[in-house]
Amino acid sequence: MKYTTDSELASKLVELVGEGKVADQEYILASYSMDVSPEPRRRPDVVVRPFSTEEVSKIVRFAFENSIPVVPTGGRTSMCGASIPQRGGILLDMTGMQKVIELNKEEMYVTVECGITWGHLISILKEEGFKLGFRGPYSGTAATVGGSISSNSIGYGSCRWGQAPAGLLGLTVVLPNGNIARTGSQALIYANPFNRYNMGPDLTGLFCGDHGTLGVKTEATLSIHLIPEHVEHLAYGFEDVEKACQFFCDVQKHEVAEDIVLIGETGSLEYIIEGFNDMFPGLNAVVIVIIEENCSGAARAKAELVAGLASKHGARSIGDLYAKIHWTFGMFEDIHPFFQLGMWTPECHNLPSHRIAEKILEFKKLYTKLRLREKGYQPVIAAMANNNNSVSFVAHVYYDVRSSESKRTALDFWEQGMERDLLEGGVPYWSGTSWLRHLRGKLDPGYVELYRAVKQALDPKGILHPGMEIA
Amino acid sequence: MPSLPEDVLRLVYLCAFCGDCREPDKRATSNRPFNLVCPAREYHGFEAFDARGRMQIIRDLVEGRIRPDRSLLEWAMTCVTCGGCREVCLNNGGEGIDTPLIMEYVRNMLISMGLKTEKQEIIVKSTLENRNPYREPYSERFRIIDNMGDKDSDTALFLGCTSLYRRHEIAKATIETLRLQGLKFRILKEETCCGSVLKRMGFLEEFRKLAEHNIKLWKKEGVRRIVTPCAGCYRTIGKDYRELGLDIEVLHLVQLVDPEKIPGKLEGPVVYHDPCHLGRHMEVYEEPRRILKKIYGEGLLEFERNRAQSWCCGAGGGVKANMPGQALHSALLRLKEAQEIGAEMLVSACPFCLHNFKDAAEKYGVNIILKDISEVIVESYKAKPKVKPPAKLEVPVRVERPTSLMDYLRVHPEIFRELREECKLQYRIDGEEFVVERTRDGIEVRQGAEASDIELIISREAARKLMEAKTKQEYMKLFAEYYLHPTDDLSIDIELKKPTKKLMSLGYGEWAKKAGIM
Repeated sequence: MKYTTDSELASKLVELVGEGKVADQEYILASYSMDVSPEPRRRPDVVVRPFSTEEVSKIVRFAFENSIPVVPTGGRTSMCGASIPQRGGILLDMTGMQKVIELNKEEMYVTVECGITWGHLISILKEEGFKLGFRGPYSGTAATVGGSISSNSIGYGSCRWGQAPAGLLGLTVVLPNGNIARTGSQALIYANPFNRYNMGPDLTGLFCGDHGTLGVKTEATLSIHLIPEHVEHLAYGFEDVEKACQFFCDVQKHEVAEDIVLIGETGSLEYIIEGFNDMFPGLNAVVIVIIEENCSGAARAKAELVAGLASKHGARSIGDLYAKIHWTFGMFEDIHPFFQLGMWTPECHNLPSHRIAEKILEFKKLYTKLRLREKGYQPVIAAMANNNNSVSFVAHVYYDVRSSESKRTALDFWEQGMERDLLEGGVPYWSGTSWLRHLRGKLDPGYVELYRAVKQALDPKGILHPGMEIA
Repeated sequence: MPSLPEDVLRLVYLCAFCGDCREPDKRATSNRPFNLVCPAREYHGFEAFDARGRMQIIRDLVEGRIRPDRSLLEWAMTCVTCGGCREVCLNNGGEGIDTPLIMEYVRNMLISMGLKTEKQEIIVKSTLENRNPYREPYSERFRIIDNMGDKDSDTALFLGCTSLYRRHEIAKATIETLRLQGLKFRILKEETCCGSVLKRMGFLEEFRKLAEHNIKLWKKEGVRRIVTPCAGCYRTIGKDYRELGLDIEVLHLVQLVDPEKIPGKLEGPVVYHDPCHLGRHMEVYEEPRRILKKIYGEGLLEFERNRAQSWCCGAGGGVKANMPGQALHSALLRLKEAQEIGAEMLVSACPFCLHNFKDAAEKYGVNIILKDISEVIVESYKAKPKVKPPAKLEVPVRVERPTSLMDYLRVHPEIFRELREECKLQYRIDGEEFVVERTRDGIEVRQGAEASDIELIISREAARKLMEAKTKQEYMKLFAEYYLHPTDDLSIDIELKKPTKKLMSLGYGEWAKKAGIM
């Protein structure tokens, strides 16, 4: 089967990397025009699937010499348009680079090619008795390590371990001119990539959250941890949303949990657990707490502490099933069933935890004001803990993509929501086209100047993911 | 511009592009194995070939942003319609987006625009003219059959084109299996190809003609039951024909064979490959395993990717004819997988899977024995028993004083009252395995391991204590205690084997609530 049309660009790229890795058939380009966001579809001019850092280097060098845009993409599960090419060019589908390069059980790290999915990596590590800290974003299992680092994802395990780049020890990056750079301890040519902060500035951090505008990540080294012997799945229901939020913050401050999730709109739980509201009438919020420990005593002590806090805040235990659905039974089983309602309007952003209650009540008022429920929209409000002080806050609706009225209403709500989030001190951890249009004029001038200087120094021709620059 | 039926379009636009269908099984992070899903994506590499990419392409096609041309037709013909993507998709109320169905209609749409591959045209022409897709004369259809059965039987044996024209050994072994099992059947000379390949390739009108011919024939002949050794025929007659009004019983051979009647014991190591059309499409997973377990005992191995997560042989959906390289590549991966787990023989229950496996083994020089389940059944009858057959597994239906949890549950079906019919729970107690299945009237309890909805891992002591419960309330109270507050001796753990959304619709939520664990 032939994937290319023999265009000049495709033919040149085939010369560089060989047959079967380059495609520019119209239908193939169409399949790379979207991600998990409602952002407009845009196609690249050509798609290349590289299988090594050297191949990426060859492609990027060629693009640099010929001033052709290059868009590096992973699983393309971005919820903000971050993987959609804005100016055509070469789209790098990095999912072919999915090898585990080294699992170092003594120095407790794993080095992988950046196109590996979190699900695949977790599965491999589990067989060897290890886990990761951050365990993948909420957008989908197809998300890759490189994609999440590029977009500072928050997800499974962020409460204890932080965002996607937090466990990162070093990167191999192809720079915009095609040269290859290694960061972290491996910058010293004799050393293993076992440590991130070394001789000079943390250049690993330069590429975290860059949305592929500063370099193409090809290899990443991540910290690993022993698989816990003991896991506690706790779930509590609350009649009072404010009390649920206070409980959430209390647990988070005590730093006992691997993961904490708050659902601020129990109507949505019907889509996960049919009959939930009949089983547990009167609940307006649910909080899940996950504890993982290598010592059973520590796990139990933490669980008792959480139970005590729950009692203090007037919680009702609702068994552990919902917590297990979230954590153990099946990743995304408490998220993706919502897609039966249509496409989401994701405006997840970082918010200080103590503000969750205020934010939930504000959104609930807005839903009521706009009569969204009467119009058939199912709101989902949730907060997922990030470190000990903040959350990824989500308040979105799902819309019927085939109904222009439904789409317009939902997208208006979305745009207004993002603007309001920023003005009220929320911070998007990823940007993408959806947040970029709201960020204009709101960034610190010094930050803008610094980013532009770095971008100019590394990528003077602006070939890497043009249109996705933060400033 | 032709379009797609509204119910198919609805599915296309339901996709939110999360990509769960793309590569890993989303359950990878839980206690379930990581699995690749799509044979087409695995072979071609680009996003266009998996379900997520297909949904975007189809949207662009129906919205006029893609020109339907030859290359698009080739793309459409790469889907094996195996249903692996549908299995992992959580959308559509937990049922998953039905990409195989969508692709049939997309192919149909392209056909209506005059876009057909040469192979498609040959197959359609042959199927309509010769009543088989292999360009063989109809007069040769039963050439190798010397036993057309008992003309008074109301069971029609439908051998299918692949075994009749390409894999004679399967046709013969199927007939011999039925004879050995003492089952009466008849083969109807006027039958025609079931039309499976036409349906999968999108020739829906042509398929309908074939189906109507067979349905009319069976009605005229007073057929009450159809049995077939072919997974493709079984899926087509058992599901697609139903939509055209067929209302008689349809069985795959493995559902008719009684494992208890098979006398011999053969030696493994052997592994069973789930054909997509028998497994994922029709959810027949355990019957072939019961037969093979009886024949091979511990010599029966299991693929890591088995049952609903089984890797496709690569031949379906018209791919073997239109994309032979892709079909053989998928088969090669499966053969290697069989060798990696130490199997010397791969057994399947689909002549077309076997046909593709044999072609791949020959092309790539893979040294593995390949057989249909009917062949090993016949061999088993011929072999002398090597060991004493195990005692019958059945336990009396009613026992006064249960000695095991299995017996206890048999006499306490009320414990499962909240569950819907066909719910299946796998119990594991310190090496002992049994299954409880909710039936229309009560429950059925049997030993062994099967594809189930949930697994209950119960400590020996907890099982003993549960048996002391006098009422359902007592049982549920203890159950909740051991689950929520496990100790070293008294513990219950639960693993979900199906998406939660699906389980809730089967009544497990209510059951968990009654058990006090939710």
